Amino acid sequence: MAKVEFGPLYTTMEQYIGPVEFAEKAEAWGYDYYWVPDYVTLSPMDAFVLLSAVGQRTKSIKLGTAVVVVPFRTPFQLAKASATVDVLSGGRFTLGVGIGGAVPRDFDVAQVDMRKRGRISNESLHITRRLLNEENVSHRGHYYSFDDLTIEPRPIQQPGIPIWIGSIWNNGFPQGVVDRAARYGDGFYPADASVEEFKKVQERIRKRAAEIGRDPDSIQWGLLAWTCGGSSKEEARQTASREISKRLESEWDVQADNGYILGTPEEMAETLQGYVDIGVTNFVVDPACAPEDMLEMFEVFAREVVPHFRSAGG
Amino acid sequence: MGELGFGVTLFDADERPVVKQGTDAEDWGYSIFWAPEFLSIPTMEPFAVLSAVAQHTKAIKLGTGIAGLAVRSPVQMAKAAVTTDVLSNGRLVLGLGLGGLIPKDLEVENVPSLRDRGRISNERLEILYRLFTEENVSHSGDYYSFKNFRLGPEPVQKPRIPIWLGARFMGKIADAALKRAGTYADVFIFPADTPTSYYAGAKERIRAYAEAAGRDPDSIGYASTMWTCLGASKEKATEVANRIIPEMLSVPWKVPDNACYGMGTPEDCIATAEEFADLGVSHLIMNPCCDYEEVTAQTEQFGREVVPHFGSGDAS
Repeated sequence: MAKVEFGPLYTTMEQYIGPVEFAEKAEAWGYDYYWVPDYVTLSPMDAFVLLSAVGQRTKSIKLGTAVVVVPFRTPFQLAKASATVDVLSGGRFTLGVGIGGAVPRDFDVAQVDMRKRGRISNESLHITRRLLNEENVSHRGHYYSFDDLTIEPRPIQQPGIPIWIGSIWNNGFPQGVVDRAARYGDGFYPADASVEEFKKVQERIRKRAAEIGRDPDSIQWGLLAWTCGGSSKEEARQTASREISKRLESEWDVQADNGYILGTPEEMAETLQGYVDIGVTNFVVDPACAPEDMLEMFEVFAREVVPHFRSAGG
Repeated sequence: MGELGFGVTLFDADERPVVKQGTDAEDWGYSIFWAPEFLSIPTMEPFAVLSAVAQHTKAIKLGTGIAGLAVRSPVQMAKAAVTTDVLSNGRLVLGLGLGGLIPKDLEVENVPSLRDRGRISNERLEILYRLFTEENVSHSGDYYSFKNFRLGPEPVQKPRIPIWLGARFMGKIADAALKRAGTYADVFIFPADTPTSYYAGAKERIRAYAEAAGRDPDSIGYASTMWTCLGASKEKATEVANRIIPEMLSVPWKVPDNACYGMGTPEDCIATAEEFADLGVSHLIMNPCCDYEEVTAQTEQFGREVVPHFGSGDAS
């Protein structure tokens, strides 16, 4: 059985610890991945530039984005920046992407038509994937057309850098997401998905992959998991609702079963196990507690939750 | 003669890894390490390179040389710049230009014409400048409109990250480029091909545009790119450069007379550098154009034998 992997998402902790120092800690605590977000208005730093620095100060932890919003960069930028981080980190980069939409303001500032974000993202991901995996790429499309382009330096990871497709569950997953994950995803990692909802979308993606001639077993599964410790699930749920609302600047009511990892370490491990049982092997630990408590939460999580999945044969 | 500092440009065909090139540049006395940006030739993403180099160096400044205004939206450019500035503890020099030295880059980036490229770059530059200097930016223009955007985090450098603007010389430097420099640049970078006779006039134009923009003309510094090939004589070095530059850039090229080309012995290069210092240039970007296998040795030799001849100052 595949190893279950965990990685903290660095977000809203700037006041308490810098992103590079936090990555060093995450590696020391034994996390498998270090994730950074890449919103325009909400998160301060450019994910690629940041991970490139982190790669110099860490040795083996994998470096991922959760998520880069595709339409805000050209596919050429995505490919060039991904290859750069991969080369500079010795092949540790994972490109996690979404199509955006949770923060409509970002589209105003970036001057991208939010209604077209799905179409733009599909073409862009198609190109990005090809530029990362192939040389001498030519493309004729709706938004981009070009001939005989090779992005260099070539990524270290071959045949290509892993691409993960993220999406937020919102009374279901649209077919566009299913199709995108089936076509372009080495992995699919949704947020806010209950185990039941996850199973449903998993089946849809596998089915779609088979339809387009891709091996459904080649797709890995992850969870963007809002996580908050507490003396009970309910207490943690309330904290998470309050903190997420603050962060997203909009009212957010946490439904405990929808992909939230809450409560005591034992409760968290139990919730995570539900996902592991359906094949989820990669957890992005997105802190939903107050910023001043995040550092401690990540340390406790590494010490008391992760080991549940590291026992013999686990 | 004023103080003169030297920069060196990352060279992808060098056998040294990029991070080693950065630490060597610091050890060999260069004051700025420049990372170029091209799409269709093997250069890395410049901000990512510089933030990596920053983790292994202490004092050397880190410049994008040149990042293309056509490549990124202004907000992405600002974020990449601020991120690099923070991760280098305030050592970023933001070198910007229109891009397009390599025609294929523009073809691929879907930027339709030179004219559009100038217009969109001007608007992007204006937005970028305001994002660096104002708390809450609202903008309404031909290409971008948005309200109340605040860039975060704060850059380390105050009052803001320095902006160096490059241009091309094609018989002349476009007046639009001189205007951009007068309006926005902390330092204007003359392209290597600019004839020495052209400097005084160009600087006068820039100064006039600076005054028109309400800036102090004396606050603008000048730099030049210096293609460099060390050799036994000027003639021998020029012969090599005439072969190497077109190969590097995939465009026809010939070393011109009376322009910023450091060809020959270290003494020849010192003489060339002095000439440009006398023209008011305070930073030279050493750009090796020798045989690839000699880049490392020549960069070290230049750093050890040419750079110390001048003061440690630079335009920044």
